[in-house]
Amino acid sequence: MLAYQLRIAWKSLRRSPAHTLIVGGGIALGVAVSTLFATVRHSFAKDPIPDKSAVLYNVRMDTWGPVDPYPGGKPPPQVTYQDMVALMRSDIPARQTGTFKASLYVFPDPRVGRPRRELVRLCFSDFFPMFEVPFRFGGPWDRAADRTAERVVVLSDEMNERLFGGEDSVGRSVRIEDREFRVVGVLDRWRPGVKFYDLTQNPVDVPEPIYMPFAHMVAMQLESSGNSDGWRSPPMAGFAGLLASEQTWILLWVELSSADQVGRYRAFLDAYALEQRKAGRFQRKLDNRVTPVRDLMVEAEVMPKEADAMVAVSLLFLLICALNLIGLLLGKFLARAAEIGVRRAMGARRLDVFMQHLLECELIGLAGGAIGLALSFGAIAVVNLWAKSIISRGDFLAMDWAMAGFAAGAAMVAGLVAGLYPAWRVCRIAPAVHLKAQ
Amino acid sequence: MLQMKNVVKVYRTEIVETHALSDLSIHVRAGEFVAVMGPSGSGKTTFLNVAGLLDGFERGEYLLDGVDVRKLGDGEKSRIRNKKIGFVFQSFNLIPDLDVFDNVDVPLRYRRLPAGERRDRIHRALEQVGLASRMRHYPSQLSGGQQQRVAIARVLAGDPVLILADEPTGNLDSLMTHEILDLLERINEQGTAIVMVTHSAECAAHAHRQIHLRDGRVAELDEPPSLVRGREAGLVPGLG
Repeated sequence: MLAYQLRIAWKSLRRSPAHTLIVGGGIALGVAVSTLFATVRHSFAKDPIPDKSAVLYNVRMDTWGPVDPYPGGKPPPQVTYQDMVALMRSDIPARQTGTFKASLYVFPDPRVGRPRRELVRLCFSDFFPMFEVPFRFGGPWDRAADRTAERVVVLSDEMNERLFGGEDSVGRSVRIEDREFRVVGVLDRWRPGVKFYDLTQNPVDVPEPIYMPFAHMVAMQLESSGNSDGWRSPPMAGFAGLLASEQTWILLWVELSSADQVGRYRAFLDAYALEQRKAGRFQRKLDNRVTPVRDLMVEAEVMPKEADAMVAVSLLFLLICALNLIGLLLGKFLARAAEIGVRRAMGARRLDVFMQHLLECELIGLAGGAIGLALSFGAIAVVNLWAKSIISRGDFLAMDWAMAGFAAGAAMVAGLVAGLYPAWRVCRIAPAVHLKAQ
Repeated sequence: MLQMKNVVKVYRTEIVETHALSDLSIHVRAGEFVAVMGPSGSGKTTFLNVAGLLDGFERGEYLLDGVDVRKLGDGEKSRIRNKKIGFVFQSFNLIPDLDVFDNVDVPLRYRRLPAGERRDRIHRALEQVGLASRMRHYPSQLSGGQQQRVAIARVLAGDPVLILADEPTGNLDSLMTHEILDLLERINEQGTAIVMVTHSAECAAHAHRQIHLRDGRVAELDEPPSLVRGREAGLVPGLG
């Protein structure tokens, strides 16, 4: 029966192509707008690392001074060097990494290009498996290299393209500042939607192009090119003073695979803070936080506040489009009253007539949805192009299956909204009236 | 087969109330061919609509093939229309978008018959009306008489026990009229009861019995001499 009703609906749509185009176009427009805004929201809100977001935790400690709290009343988003070193002695996490970014001069082969400053992420070898960083060539350095500050680097695909023309550069050498580093790995294309592992600055920025062992921070006396917050002067001058200071500039991430591990790690943090309090630190009420990825994204307000409102307004627009189509569909269906009368006389139930017309609306809704989806692809491409000039990234807004599903769902709901009343009205037609009139 | 007793049907508007059927009592037996006649506005079409379960009624009793239709919901009424009743209209009422085959298929689709059985029934019905070669023609490509034959094939395919025909020859010339009436008579001879609304005494003469309506009720009941002879010869059932 469904196939038969689909056939009738299809014939009806073909019978009046202009009408079909107008109704389908109205739904397409509404679906395109709502899918675009839903994609914007989705791109900010979706899980950037779905397989692991539940086991990756950001660590924060309230090391702030006793007089005023850190702005916002929460612990600072990063930790001090001395705390990172102490906390990373814990064997509770399966993996852990402290990390920050520095801006360093990279010297390519003179035939390739001129030296220029590049962002370099300093991290531990666990960074790569923790965050599921994909490799095209080679792999991460080993844990021994973390301890010995081995001169090794991992390059992004783009940096490898720029320095080595995209070849397998593992084993090749690259000069950073005044030292030569050996390439041990080249990343495959890695574009997490939100840069979840570092939300302190632009959360939609692309990952850094170069990665090197954290230990080089001390060896090369590197300072952060990102945010750095402190509440009192270092105890001594120079780099040693920075290392011993209350300055927070390092993101600390741990991988904890069970609630028990999380509990034990929290207890470990509190015990450490209480011990430090004896030495005059941690004078505020204990506020140590171990926050999973998605909670951290919410807390950091990664998603613009306007995103929800934009989606709501766009859905309202779709609703208005659908409501405007009610009259058109009703007119079309009522003009077919005689045929409906014949079908009723031949044994069609009201439900059959209702379903047939609703199916026609759904068919046109889906066709409109498909066109709307194509339009939203175009709109997303335009917005990405515009965004590239602002965030130097033209791929942040990305259509995925979830959004295609949203478009299909929105189109079907729009078809339902537009078609429910006309289908109901037409199934209530008294067949006798129209049989004589044909 | 069709038993109406004191059926009242009223059409109401804001300013006027029209009694289309006033205590109408009609009894049509299985296998009968009855002509319903009367002037315009006498309630012929309303009777046919009520009889065909296309319209309700206010008061009275109506048993169709032994079933009290007052108690039935839309689904059940639709099922009875589909299985037991066949309609033939003055204006044929074929669906213009569908070809002959698909038009005849309409009632079978709502009966949810398997494709093979539907195909067999459609072929048989179209052969009976002599239009098997026009299966893929559209109604607009057929003459009036041919269209009415398709409408009759649509009825035949459903194999109903009762045919309700509303002025089936009203839009046809005299040659086509005879053709259609002959066809209806042949169908009736196979046992299907026919109730035919008509203005034409000539058409009514083909029926076993004539019922005259006036102001929504039966005016007189006549049996044409041919029917009396037929009954005496045992060719048609007796009337109650």
